[in-house]
Amino acid sequence: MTQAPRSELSPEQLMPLFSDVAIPYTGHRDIGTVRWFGADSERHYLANKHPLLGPDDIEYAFNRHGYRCIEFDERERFDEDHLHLLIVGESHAFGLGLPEERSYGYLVARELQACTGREVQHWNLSQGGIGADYIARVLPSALAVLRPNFVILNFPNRHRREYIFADGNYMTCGDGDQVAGSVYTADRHDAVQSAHFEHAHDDSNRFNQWKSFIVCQRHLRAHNAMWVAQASFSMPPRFNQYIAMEKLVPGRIMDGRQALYKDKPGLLLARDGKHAGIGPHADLANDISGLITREYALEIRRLAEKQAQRAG
Amino acid sequence: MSRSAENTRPSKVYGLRHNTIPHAPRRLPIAKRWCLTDSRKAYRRRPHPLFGKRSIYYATNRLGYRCPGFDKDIVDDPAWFNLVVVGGSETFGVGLPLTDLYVNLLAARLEHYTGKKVAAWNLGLPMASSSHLARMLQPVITRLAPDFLFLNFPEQLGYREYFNDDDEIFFCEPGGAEHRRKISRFWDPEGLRVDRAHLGLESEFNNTVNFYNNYYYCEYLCEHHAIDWLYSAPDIGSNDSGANGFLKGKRLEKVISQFIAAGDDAGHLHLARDFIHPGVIPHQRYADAIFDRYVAQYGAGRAE
Repeated sequence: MTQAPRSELSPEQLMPLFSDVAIPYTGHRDIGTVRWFGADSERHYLANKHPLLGPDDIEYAFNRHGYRCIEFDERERFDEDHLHLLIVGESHAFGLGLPEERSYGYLVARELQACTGREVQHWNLSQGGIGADYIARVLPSALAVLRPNFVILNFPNRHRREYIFADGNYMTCGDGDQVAGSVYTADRHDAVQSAHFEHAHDDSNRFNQWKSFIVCQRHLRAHNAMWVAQASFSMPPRFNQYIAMEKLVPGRIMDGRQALYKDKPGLLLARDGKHAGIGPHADLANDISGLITREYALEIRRLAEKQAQRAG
Repeated sequence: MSRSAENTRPSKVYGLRHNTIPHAPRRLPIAKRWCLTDSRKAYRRRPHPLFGKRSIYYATNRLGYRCPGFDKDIVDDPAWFNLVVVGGSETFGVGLPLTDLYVNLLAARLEHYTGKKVAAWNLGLPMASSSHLARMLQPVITRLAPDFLFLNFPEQLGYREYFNDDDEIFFCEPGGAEHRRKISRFWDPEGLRVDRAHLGLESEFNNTVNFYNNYYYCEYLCEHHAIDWLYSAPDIGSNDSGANGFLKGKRLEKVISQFIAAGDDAGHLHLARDFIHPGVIPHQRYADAIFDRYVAQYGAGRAE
């Protein structure tokens, strides 16, 4: 993989770690709005046209920090009536190959809006190819800056590990050749990848994923957010005592959901032909909304009642 | 490491045991009388005025820790008070005899205070990282049932640990460490490979993230089990970079190296035999500081 090296980050763009006033920049900052992104490329589309989604149907609108949502400064603009949903995860949560309004995070936000009678702002801090390290790193800052009422975490497979370098750029390596956030030349990329494989022992990966989940759980409790997560662990059963199992989304993960739509090619896959499409996203959104409304029934009823009183 | 092997190999989950204390890394160069920076060569170059060649004996138990064997009868006996300390080389006591370690001095004070016999389980290891503390915590809580747990997070964040396919653990030192040990490409080619990969991926950002996550993880487990615990950690990134949600109530104000007084007349008492690690006086003061903090935090009803 050959990529042109990018300029170094300015001092204010250097990775703020665990900051309560700033959310870290992503590897692809300042790109504005684009029609194609990552695996969802025009070249792929021309070779394999999607039955439902055309070239003009998807817009990836990035904020200054490189996330697929509005600017973080906007958070202060919202009045108290507004609720905020934060989603942090990998490419499915990012909504790769789908219009934003078809991604499951957006659909859950609309469902919560219907339940509470309040506007719900959807903050999507997901990135394609990231691992549990990324979620544990970004979450504390996102909780502090965005002060969300609801949080959805989407943990990818345990093999992905994130490395941040002295210049403030980061790179995620997995069990195959996939790499996220790489802004480096091919030589540097290969060196990092081979160092990663030297250390990517399975026990180490599973412990890292599980530890990241516990850390996220700790942050979520400290911020008193209503949260659910999608994750599958492979730890000895005794370790489950630390996990709020009731907050885990039941049912199959996204890949399993895709099997339900194998006879409906327009709904099965996203425009990139790899990621989950409109059908599995809607299915997952239903499950997540159901879990949130069940787990936090009392809180949601209170929010709705308060809103009704105000309106009355 | 081969990826196909990783996917098919049945995991032994060496580092992730929940009810047995894992063996210390077998590759740690601990001899009977010398250990890492506390080497015969360094001693010849600069002998310590207080400790001679035979003053220190690094006796470890069957699992490689510098404390008695983990006897279940003692752990479960209510007449014993289980003091557990997990940390790095200061906790292990590089360059110091057992009697001068803060762990054992603290045990003596707790023995007097609680009126119980104190079992001092020292799980400190030289070159250990915050990841070592996090990995050890679950088996420590399950197997040693600590009455008081002290986590001494290493002051340098660049130390890391890695596994290999045989579930061996490698401890790696920070690239910038002055006393980095040399790994022979003839005697330990795998160790050298792991260490080179470690240097290739090391950065201040990675170290900080790793340390923060390990701390948060430890905090979560300790609070979950409602353990009496305290910790000491370096002050990293707390003010400049924004949020630092570390529990202030459980934190010792100083790390052990802050008890080393430079330029003191009794300078040799401030440093261990290797003239790098803290010596007799810092260990004494550190033990007092932990004890005072313990009494202030958990003392009510604990005294005899």
